[in-house]
Amino acid sequence: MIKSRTYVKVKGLNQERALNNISKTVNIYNYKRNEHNIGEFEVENSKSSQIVELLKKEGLEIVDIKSRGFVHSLKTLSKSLGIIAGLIFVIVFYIVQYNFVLKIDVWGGESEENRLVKEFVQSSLTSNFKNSIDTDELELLIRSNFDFVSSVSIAIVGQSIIVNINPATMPDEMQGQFQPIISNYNGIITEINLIQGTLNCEVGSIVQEGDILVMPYMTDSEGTLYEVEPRAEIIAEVWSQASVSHYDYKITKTRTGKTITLNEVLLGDIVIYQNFCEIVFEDYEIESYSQSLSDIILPLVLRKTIYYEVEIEEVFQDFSEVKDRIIGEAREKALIFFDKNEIIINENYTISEGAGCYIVNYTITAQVDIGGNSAS
Amino acid sequence: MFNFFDEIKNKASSIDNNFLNDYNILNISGKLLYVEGHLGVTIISDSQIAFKVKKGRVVVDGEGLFLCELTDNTLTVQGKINKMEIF
Repeated sequence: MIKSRTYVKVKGLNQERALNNISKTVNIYNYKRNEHNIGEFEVENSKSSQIVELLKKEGLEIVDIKSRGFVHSLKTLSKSLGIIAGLIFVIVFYIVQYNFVLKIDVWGGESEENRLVKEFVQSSLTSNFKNSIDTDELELLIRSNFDFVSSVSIAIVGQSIIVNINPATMPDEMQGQFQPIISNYNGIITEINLIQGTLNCEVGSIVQEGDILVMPYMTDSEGTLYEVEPRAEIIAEVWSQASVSHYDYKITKTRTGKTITLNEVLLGDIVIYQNFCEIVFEDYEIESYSQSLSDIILPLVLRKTIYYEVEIEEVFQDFSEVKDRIIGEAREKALIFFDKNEIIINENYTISEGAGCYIVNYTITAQVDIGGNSAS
Repeated sequence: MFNFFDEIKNKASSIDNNFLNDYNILNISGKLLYVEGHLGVTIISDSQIAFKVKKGRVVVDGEGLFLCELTDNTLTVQGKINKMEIF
């Protein structure tokens, strides 16, 4: 529908004669006669007013007339002032608002870092107008205000400020909280390989748990102290001791599972209710607890006392029968303090006896890197 | 300037060109009929279109005929053209 033409439907007799006359001044297109006295045709849009006059002059009745085509649509649109005004407003609004930045995107860092940088950029902008944003200055500001940013590039894309940051990677010796290396063991230092920091011990020193082994600073040739994360390989012979006791005669109590519960409601110290029950157990253990029922008006307390029936048994067991097991238990207890891959240098035990009580003391000596971790 | 009809007329050596200037009719594939030098349409229907030419009358018979274009001295008939007679 590119061609702009006016469609005309006419009614009348001897249309051939009329067409011959009209065609002398106006070109006729696509003339069709579907009925004897009704014909339809098209003329150029520019001739629409002329064709109306000519048809009247020829005595033909115009049944229908309408304009078609792209140019006609444009002309119709051009007469719709509201639409034009709306279009102009939209275009102007778009052009104006396109000059403003509406969004800030920060890429490259952790989410928390990105949030901080975004807030900083937002607060640094004096205006959202694109031309007033100095990206170079913003880059400098970000670099100087955030230690975790090693480099930054800022670009304005569309209506967004894209901030691309490269997180700074601190050298290993500068990382950490600069806490000293502290011994977690008791032992004698046999070997030291200091990587960084200042030693606070020497080979042959006896250290105890909690002693500082390496200080978190270094001194340069000019005597200036600067903090570093202490690192060292400090090998020490450390020992771990555990003891297990055994009694040749002892009394054991075992709960049978039977219980009796005594419920009491107290007002202060006065018992105002009690479900009386008789304790029929020969031997028993008692557990009791209280629960406040109401302390708004009256300080009512529910006290429950549970009686557990127990069986008391006398056990006679000679130490010699269980000696190996007791020593094994003591060894297991001593080993708890070491990692599985520690090198055990020596282990021994002593047994002390007194009044039917035997105490097994088990000592394990192992070679441990006590400088392998810092307190941080 | 190249003129299609003049080129054809120049090939007719035995006829005086003055006798070939009354009208020109060109039938294209029986679907389109172009006419130069008509003197007015006399019949228009979907089965027959007739028009006057100098010293005669032309009748076009067919189906679904309509005037594709009509100007002062040219016309174009479109449709299925079965027969064209000159009287």
